[in-house]
Amino acid sequence: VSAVPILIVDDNPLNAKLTKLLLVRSGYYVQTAADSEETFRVLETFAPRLILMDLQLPGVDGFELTRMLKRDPKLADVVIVALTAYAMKGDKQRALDAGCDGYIAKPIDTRTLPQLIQSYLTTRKPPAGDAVARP
Amino acid sequence: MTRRASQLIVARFGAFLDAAPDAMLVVDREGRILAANAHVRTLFGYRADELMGEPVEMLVPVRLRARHVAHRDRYVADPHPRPMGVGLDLQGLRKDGTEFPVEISLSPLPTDDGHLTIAAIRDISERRKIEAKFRGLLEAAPDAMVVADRNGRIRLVNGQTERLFGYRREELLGRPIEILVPHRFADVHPRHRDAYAGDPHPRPMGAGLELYGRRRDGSQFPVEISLSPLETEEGILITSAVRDITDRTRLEENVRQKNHELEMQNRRVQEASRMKSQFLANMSHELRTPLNSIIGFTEMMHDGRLGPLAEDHREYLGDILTSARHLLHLINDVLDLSKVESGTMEFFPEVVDLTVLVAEVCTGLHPLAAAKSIHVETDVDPSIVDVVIDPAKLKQVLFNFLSNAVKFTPIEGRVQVRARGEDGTFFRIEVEDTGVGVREEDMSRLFVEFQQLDAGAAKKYQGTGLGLALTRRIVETQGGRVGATSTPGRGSCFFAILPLVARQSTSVVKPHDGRLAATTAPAVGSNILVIDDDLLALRLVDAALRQIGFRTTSTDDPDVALAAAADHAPDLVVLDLLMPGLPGTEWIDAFRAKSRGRPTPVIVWTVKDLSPTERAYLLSKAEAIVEKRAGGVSALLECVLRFVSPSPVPREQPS
Repeated sequence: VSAVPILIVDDNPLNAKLTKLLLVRSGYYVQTAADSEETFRVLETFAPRLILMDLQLPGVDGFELTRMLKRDPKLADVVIVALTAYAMKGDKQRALDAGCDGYIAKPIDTRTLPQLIQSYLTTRKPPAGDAVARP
Repeated sequence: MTRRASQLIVARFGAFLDAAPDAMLVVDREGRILAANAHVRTLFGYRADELMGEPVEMLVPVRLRARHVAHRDRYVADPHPRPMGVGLDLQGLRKDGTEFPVEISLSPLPTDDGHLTIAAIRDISERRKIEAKFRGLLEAAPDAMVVADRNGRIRLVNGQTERLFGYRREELLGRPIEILVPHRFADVHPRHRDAYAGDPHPRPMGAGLELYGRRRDGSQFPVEISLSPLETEEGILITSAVRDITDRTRLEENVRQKNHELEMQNRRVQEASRMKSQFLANMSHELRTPLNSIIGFTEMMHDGRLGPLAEDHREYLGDILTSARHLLHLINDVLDLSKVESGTMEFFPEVVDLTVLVAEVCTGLHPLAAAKSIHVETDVDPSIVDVVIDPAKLKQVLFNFLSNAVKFTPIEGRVQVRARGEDGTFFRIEVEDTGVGVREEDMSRLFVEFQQLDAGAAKKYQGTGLGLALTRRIVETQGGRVGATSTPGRGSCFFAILPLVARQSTSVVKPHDGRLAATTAPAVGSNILVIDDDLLALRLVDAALRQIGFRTTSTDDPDVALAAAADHAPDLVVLDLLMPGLPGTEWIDAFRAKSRGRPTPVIVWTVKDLSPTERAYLLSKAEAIVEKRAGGVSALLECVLRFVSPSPVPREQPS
């Protein structure tokens, strides 16, 4: 069984590195992109099942990038999960409005993130309740 | 010569002179009286023969005679008709030696014997008396009073005018009124004056004009002026009451200035507060981003997921984790506190099952409690199971109380979490522990920011010093209150009292997008149309119905509801009775007309106290009536279930 491909879009290289390490250790095949341009470049040769989308990106932000990706029929089946600091007012609703299938608050909990990702992949719906990775 | 002339004059003009209403004299160039009519004789008390040929000065008081001769000579040198006595103090002298004020007009009378003069003399004693009274009135007025004729000559002023403008009375009488007006307005003033004289009417003060007066020394001051016309025998005079409003203007200016300053200050404060909130939000994001990697990598190493680890390394990684998490907690609390302070914290009330919520929080803290063998008991009164509140915020409050209780309770202690109704419309959630307790003198500092009771506790218990303060703010913002009781050494009880149904005023409830929200849950179960202009109630019912497996269409607009009912016929309608615009009963009629005989049950859900008649009338149109009560959504749900069935999908349990 080949590893499930996941794309991490995050402009912070250390956070991207951490999430990649975590997901690779959990058995996923992971690529990263730091902004919208790199995202499109990577997507030319890489077909992820799920995209972890940081909402604060330089230039085109995660909300807009999500809208752009969701308009592409080829990406219709890709699950997009927003990843951001919940501090920003109304981020969660904005993320869902932009077309995200779910929402995970940063900082990520390395102990539960793999399971969260797994549940998004199987149900394509956020697990019931607030997907806040940390109380 | 004089006698002959006199006879001639009398012969020629006698009848005319006697017919005149005033005392009339004819005087020659030397000032000798040639003729006098009957009025002269009556007025001065002389017989005709006593006057004839005598100098006219015999009718003038002795002290004024020399002056009179001079006046007379000037007139003879340049004779023309003119009034005399206006503004002059002319006096007549009777035969009996008494004096009286007179007004005299002169006109030349050319004759064969040269230029004579006709003098008309009027006794103005009565007028003077009236004027004196009028002057008395003027003096009594609080304002400067200036009476001018229609040519703008000042005729009368009062003492206040002298004081206000710095002129003496005699410096003003007869002068154009523009003397009292600043130069910059002096040019236009006559035009205003003429306009007023053309249409004289009383005009009150403060007609909105900015007017200024000019003092003798040239200084200017703001005035308010009221005008009124004064009918006199000399024609219309115009009375101006002039009021110095320097003080008032200064006061108004001060008030304006102060208001402006306050407004600016307020704006600055608001802007500063907005900037602070924005700054904290940004800061918090910036601080969290590196913490994400710090906590993440440390966590993975600490858990041995990246390879085996020496025990002391593992311990130190645990220390890094503890500190990093503490820092994160602090950042979150500071951010929340700033949100509550700036009023930007948002609340999203929904139907909350307290039993589930309490269990969730206890589960979250179970590891901490278990590590100290602390037994946590929960007891939720089943009658208040459903409350309407923002669950995340309530969790935050309970988490805070509970984590404190676990922290401050020694090993094998006991913690109890209780939820009870309070005063009918509130509920009380409390956490009691068998911990160290709080000293009496510390109780007042419990809920204050950055007031950890002792510095040692901060290190030992890893608190931020913000938790209870934040809890208090969150509870109070929702219309509740917090408190604590404690016995040192025995334990404490912390409680929060909150409304069973969060109030709209303290909660931000956003209207549904497009005012119509159709929930596309699994396409099974009955479809229920909910109409309520109270958005909170709407949310509550909508959430409650969906939770038990109904599909819902919710709107706060009766017209939208009618359209929605036409699009996809509902299986049941829940209708608030008191809608603005369209009354509930009329809505039902309109709905029935559209659904063309389809028997769709309508449940009226209302806060209104219905009379038996109203109730009967309503029941002729609707299938059932349920009264809205605080948290009384369960009664509505029971009623709904009498008519329709939800989907067989079990209620989604938040994990």
